[in-house]
Amino acid sequence: MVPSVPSIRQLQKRKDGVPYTRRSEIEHLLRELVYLPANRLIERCQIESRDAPDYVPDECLLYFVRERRAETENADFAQLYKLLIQRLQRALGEPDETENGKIAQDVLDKVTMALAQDRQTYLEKLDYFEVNFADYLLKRKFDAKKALRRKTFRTVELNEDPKDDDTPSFAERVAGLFEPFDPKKMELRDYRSNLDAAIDQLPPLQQKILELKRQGFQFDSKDPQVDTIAKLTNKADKTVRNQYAAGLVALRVILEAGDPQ
Amino acid sequence: MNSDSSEDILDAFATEPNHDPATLQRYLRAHPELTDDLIDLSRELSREREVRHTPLTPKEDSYREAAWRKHVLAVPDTEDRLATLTVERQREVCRAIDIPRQVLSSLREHQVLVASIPRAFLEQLAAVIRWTPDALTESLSRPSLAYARNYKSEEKPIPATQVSFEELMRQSCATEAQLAKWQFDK
Repeated sequence: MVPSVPSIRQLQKRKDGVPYTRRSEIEHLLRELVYLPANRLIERCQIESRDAPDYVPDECLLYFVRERRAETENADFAQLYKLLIQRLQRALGEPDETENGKIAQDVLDKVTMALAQDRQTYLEKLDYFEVNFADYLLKRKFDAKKALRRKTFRTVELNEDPKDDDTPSFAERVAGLFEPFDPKKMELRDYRSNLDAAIDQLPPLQQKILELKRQGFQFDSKDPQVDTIAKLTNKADKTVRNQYAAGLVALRVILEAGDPQ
Repeated sequence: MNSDSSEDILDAFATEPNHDPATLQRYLRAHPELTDDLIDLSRELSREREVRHTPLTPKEDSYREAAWRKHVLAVPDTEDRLATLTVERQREVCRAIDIPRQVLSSLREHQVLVASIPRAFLEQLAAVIRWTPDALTESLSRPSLAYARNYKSEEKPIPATQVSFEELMRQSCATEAQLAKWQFDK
């Protein structure tokens, strides 16, 4: 048999026919970690601080759990698996009866089920976690939130888009009143968390306009080639400006009132 | 060629290395039908990442233990995973490890000298069919299935000739790129 270094499993999920790949730093680290004895690998996976030099990223921990898919119960496998679930629990938050708590439980249930299925048949969906664990976990939360809101009709009941304030100068009056994405404020972790929670309380259209504004899109443009907020939300320029202004006013009130929860 | 579903597209967006305006704009232009979802997802991905550092609750500890119990119960079956691949799955396997169909068929018939198969190839194939490299090697080392089939027939059995993996790849019209992928022992 031809001797070779341990190979790293390639991902099978494809995009436009081309297999996904892990980030290069993850691939490099896997090539190093694959030589570690189990006890040393477990020790390193126990490190919680992402800044620690020996920290093992979630993508790598998941890789090793999946690699042991064919194994029966043993202490090393159990430790690696439980460390992975622990990281998911820390990232998702505590399951409870709140909307966020229900989402956390739903995502956790689905990921643990997917991991178990992966032992029987390769589950390509899990490859996404090996590409970008944190962001794909947010995507799963996004899916769970959408499903939950569809079930409870919460979007329709509580977040119905308000009518425009047609006062001609409304947008002008509040323009410059408040800059939610001020780079200086955005450096503060608490501010960012409070802003996220405050935007959650706005109607869907205002949330979309704020997101596009954060991403640097213009309200409107004379150039038909430019993707504007008006075009992307399928609303008139005036409506977009008014809804943005209304969103700013609401955000300021929520943030000034303290804890947005 | 783009047969990706809406979910595939949103998953792809979520796993992009970054979610800057250029990335969002690229997806919005390529998938205008998903504009609402892409904007909402972009916002979701911009959220502050909260990771709890406080101890997990006893209920969460119990959940983890229960999840592990379920995980170990989902025991991989011990059947010959190479022999039981469906035709559709065989196509997927060939696509996943980029080999001609004939190569997989010959492997399934145990017509390849196991010692000539690069270890890296065995590991890749085992990973794709969710088996261990050792179990796969053991299976491939069994007598040729073509020979076994002949033996059941009325005619005198003719032992099937086993070929090396490299020879098989060449006979199967593997491309140079496919050949170059595996380091053959000269």
